[in-house]
Amino acid sequence: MSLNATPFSIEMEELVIGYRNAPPLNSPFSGRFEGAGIHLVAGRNGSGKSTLIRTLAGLQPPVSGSILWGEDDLSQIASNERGEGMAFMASTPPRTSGLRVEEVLELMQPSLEFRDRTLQQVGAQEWLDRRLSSLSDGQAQRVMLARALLQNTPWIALDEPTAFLDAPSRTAMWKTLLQLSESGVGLILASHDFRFLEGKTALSSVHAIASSGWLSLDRLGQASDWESCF
Amino acid sequence: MTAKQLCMAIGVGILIQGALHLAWGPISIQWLNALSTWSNPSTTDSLVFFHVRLPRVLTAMAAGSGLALSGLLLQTWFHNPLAGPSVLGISAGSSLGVAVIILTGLTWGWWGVTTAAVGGGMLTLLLILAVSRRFHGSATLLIFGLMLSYVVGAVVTVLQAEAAQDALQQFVFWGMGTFGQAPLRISGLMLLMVAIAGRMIFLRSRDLDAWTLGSITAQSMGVDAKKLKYSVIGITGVLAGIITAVCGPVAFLGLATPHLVRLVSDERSHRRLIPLTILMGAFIALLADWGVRAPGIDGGGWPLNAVLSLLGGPMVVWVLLRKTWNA
Repeated sequence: MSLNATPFSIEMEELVIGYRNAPPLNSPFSGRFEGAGIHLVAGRNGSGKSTLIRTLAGLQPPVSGSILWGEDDLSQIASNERGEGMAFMASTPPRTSGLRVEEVLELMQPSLEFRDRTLQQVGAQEWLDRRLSSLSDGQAQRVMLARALLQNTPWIALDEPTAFLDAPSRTAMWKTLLQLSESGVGLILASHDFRFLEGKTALSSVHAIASSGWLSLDRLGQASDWESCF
Repeated sequence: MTAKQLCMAIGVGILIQGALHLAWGPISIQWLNALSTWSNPSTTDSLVFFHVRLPRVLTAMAAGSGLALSGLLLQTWFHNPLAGPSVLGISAGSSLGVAVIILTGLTWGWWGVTTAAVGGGMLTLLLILAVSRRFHGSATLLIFGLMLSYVVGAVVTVLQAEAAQDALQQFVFWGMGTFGQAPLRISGLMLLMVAIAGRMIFLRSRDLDAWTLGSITAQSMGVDAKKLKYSVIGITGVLAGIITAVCGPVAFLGLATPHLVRLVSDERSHRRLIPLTILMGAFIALLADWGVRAPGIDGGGWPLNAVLSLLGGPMVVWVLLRKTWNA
């Protein structure tokens, strides 16, 4: 497999997502994510946004259908190579890890210069010595974003990155994500909290898992029109 | 204190305790006499040294280290501070294996009992892993382990009711736990296995650290969850099984030792936790063995599991009372 620094295309073919021993979450759909910038996946609670994000990142198998990363079938990609293609950030920061922030970032074995630049980018440079479990949710999410960035992948998948953050932390997180999307990274983002993105040029594509199937739009329209699609 | 200094301090503690255990006992022996006849132990001194005291010290160290390492791995794998080989029912599974061999009167010798114990422990662990993905919250897992122990205990009780008297007696003494039953070569073998297991899992320190960030996040970082799972199952099942076969179902050492390490050290990365936990396990096992040996100077002695439960029970309550186990 060859992964370039620019985001490879991600293709969903007749994809059905869900869990074993549970009814599937959707009828088969196909779609495509391409290029840098923010790719938003919207949908109601329980529509399967988080499941889709994890499936696209290769962290859980689809019920049926397939996903292509560039030319390669995702199910055939080894775990270590998968980690070079797409990083992932969960909606909740880890709550039981006793690692210090420095140790968390060290897991990615970045150069010191890369690490410090990234910390600056997410605004987490003050907490190197703090234990992850001693940070607030908002602080810990920023550290986890820094960790994902240090994975240095063309794609980052984010599952509701602002779900558990207060208003100032949310704004800060969105600003950071917008900056990032301009640096040539592709971000696939599941979120309810998308009004901040209205009218932003960094928004490359907008999708929704609606009751009628998979919807794709070029731009985020008026929130009111948009919500009627669900 | 840095992790290295702490390792050295615990190491010195182990050496001092080991020397005292070797020197002290109801029969006073001359070390030089004992050591000078090591190739042909025939004098009282060398018999006591090589057949009683040295194997006991080595067994205690191996059992303490091995169970502590198992406890650490289970706590990390399940993201659960109260996981441990005895709490999750792995020791009970091993006990069932041993019970089947001893109580049905099969005379399969040491290897038979050990294989049955490893098999029983491993099966229990696989059962727990199979159901654990359906559990939400850490309490469910522990209650499952508890129920498993009850069910296994019931089967063992039925076996006991049907067993011949001498087999029953043998089994009851085994169930009290002791470091004093293994011959020298077995205790040496156990220590070697713990060392190999420790080395193997040490090489996966990064994966274990990543695992503390959540299983999904760890996998997104390229951690091969299957490989890590089989390392944890393999190491925990084999170590807990062998130790249970040799020493009986030893309580609390696996659960409590990693917490003791977290209490005395700030280190939370597995690169440091693994060696610290292994050393601490050996230290605590030797310490607990004083509680067994000292009251027994005029015969008898306290059962190991009674001593460990007296130490370990309050320890677990203390962990429950602390709000954040990794703070």
